Amino acid sequence: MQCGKLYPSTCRFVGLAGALLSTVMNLVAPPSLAAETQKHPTTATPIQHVIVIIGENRSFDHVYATYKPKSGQTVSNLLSKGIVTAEGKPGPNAKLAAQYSALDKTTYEISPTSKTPYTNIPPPGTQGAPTAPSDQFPAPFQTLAVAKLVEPDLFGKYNEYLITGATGLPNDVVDTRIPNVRALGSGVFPLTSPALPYDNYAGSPVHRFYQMWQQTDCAVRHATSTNPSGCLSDLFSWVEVSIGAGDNGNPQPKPFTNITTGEGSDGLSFFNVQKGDAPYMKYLADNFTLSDNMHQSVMGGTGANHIMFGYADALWYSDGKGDIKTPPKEEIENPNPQKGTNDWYDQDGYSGGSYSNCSDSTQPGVTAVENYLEALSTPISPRCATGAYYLLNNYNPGYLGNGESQFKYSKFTLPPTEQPHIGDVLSAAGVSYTYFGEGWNLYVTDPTGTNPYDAYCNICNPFQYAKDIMTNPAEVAAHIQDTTSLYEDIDEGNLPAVSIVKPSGFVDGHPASAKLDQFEGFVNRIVNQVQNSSLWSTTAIFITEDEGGGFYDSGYIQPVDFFGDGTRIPLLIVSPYSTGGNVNHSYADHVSIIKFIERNWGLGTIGANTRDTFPNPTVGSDPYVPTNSPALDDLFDAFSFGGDKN
Amino acid sequence: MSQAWRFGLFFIFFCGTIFALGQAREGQTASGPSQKNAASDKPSGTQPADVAGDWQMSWTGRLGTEDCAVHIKQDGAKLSGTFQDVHGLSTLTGTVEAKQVSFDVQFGGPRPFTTRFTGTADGGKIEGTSQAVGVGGSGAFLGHAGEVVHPEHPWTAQRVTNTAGETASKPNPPAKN
Repeated sequence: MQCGKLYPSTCRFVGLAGALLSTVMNLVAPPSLAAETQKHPTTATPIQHVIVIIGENRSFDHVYATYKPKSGQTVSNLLSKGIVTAEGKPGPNAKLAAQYSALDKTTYEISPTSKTPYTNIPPPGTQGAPTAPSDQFPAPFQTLAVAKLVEPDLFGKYNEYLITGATGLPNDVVDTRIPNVRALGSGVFPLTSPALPYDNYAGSPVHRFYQMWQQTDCAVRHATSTNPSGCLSDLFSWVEVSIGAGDNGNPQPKPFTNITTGEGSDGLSFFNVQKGDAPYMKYLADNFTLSDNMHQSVMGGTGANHIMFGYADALWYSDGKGDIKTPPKEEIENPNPQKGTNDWYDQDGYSGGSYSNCSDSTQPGVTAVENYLEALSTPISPRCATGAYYLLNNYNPGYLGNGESQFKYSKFTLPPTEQPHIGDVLSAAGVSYTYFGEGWNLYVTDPTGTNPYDAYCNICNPFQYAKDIMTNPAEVAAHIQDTTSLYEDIDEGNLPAVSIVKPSGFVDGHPASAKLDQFEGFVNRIVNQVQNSSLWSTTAIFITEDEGGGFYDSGYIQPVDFFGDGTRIPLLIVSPYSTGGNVNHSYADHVSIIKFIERNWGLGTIGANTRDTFPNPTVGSDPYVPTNSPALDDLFDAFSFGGDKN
Repeated sequence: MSQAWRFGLFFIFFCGTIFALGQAREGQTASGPSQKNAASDKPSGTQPADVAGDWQMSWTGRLGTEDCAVHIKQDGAKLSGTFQDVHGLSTLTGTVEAKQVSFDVQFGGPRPFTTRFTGTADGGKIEGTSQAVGVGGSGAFLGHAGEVVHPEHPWTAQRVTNTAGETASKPNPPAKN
């Protein structure tokens, strides 16, 4: 019975009674019995279980471009701003999303002054999207039987999405499946069409740290009363075609064209929920609560954003014993353009520059960001420790699954960290928590990732960077598990107080290597299972993305420190206390979920200067723009714990 | 030419094309797009390189590079042997044509899989790439679109001993990622 929908008051009573009974049982039960159940100390709300599901690489406008909320609710998206019509065609204000090319030939700039509008954006590319189901480049797989074997977490029709959607085109060429691909106009375009249905793989836009600062084009000279941070988000195409996902210090290829990086303007695409795209994401928004002011917490990609979620801070390079150390030279970012190029970075890439010492304004790239932060009407502190080189992009965590050093297999690794994380705060208060990473059990046996079934995301697990967890097998066993354990815990009604859930790379929704419909299937299973369990009345499920993936977004960006925020991302809040299709406008990023957890369980902050110390926003006439920056909402206002509409 | 004749000729041409494409595709799915079947012992016009003996291999996957110990037995163009790595001890079968080496390793464990290693032998060194096969249609997951270091999963092997058990002179240490 989905009791929250039919008998919410009863459910609330049952939930509270259950909590009381649980507390009493813990007091009277023998120690051995109490130890077998998850710990749930007193909460400020009926929520005793938080589940956070983190997908991959979709911005808010990319998914909810044309979403129409129920009567009485408003949403900020491409449709409401008149950038597109409900049909997905250019709207009266299409120029708000117009893109520009730029010149940056000497020193890295986040907002180059020399810009020229595109008549037509560079044609999008196929990038790394799979050509065909084949023995060489999965997914998609060739048969449903193999798909089910490789990816056991989907169900029903969602399994079929593992064998469909290949492009039929080579990698890194213009994506000719898109109608009028060479005449898309100056801004956003619909990704789907009769010729290119929703269930298709497509290219992945760049979303690295220094690239995203350029893509969003933030400058005080652009600031207005409604956009005090002055971020225009008008250089997405240019950054994709000028530097793309980095060069690892290599020279610019010759010849160099708008498709050399493989991307073109992949970042300007959007889905159209009015035409049937992202149906489960729309269903959840229609029936629960959608935030239209949630942001990726770091300019950049997967690793840095999962780290900010776990630590409310960025992590820096250390000697592995807790002290700051300088990384090897070739691992330090230098986004200054190479001589004779336009924005081809000197050193940046997944096997190249990924650290910056943001306490030193003489370091490459740092000055451009910090000059901007200091020039804002309310200057923003970069929050950088003296001498520390922070990891800004994807590198392996310091530990393998068995607790050994990752350096054994890869030098592109962040040394073990002793910086505090949310797990420390939860453990100190006796609040149970587990990171459920799909494929964890197999990954432990496959540390170098050569097993084709292994699509576990090691950079996504914030606790895999932490010395206090990974050097203690008991801590690992308690706090890092496969999703198979999550499903068992839900069935048994013995879910940890805080569950962080990460799908495998086959279904995480990451463009090029996965599809959004697969992530919808992954989420659907968990939501359905919780709704049909005894846990539903006491559970809140936060469904979000790690970052916008380099997809354009029209929303306001609040600078909170050197690292971000970045573009908006979807956030759905699913619980019996967030029903009805409301749209929440409070300014949030990943750390807002941490703030919710801390407030709900009456916890302290992770550190004295971490982002969870930021206040909740205060706003003036514009609900999207905090007037007390840096500020992050704790999302309590996304719930209704006392009203009849629960 | 009548309409029926035109249609008939077109139909024959169409079916022939489909059949040819199907044959090509079948060849790809059975043994990869550009290699002969690793288990084949089809004779070559060129003398196969001597690759028998013990090798130390450096093999790069999605998340890092591991060191492996490879023992190869050679019978003309046929290869057999063992492969020791983080997954344990596995069996190896393959072929060598001139300097072109191709062998499959069948890995056990909770999710068994087979990887094909192809490379070029040059004295005491073999270099090449690898690709998982034989799991019913899947290869190695690359992860996060292009956000991987070495999607071709390269490998390098240095000879340690030859067939007679003689130690190779000054073997280089395996490459590190």
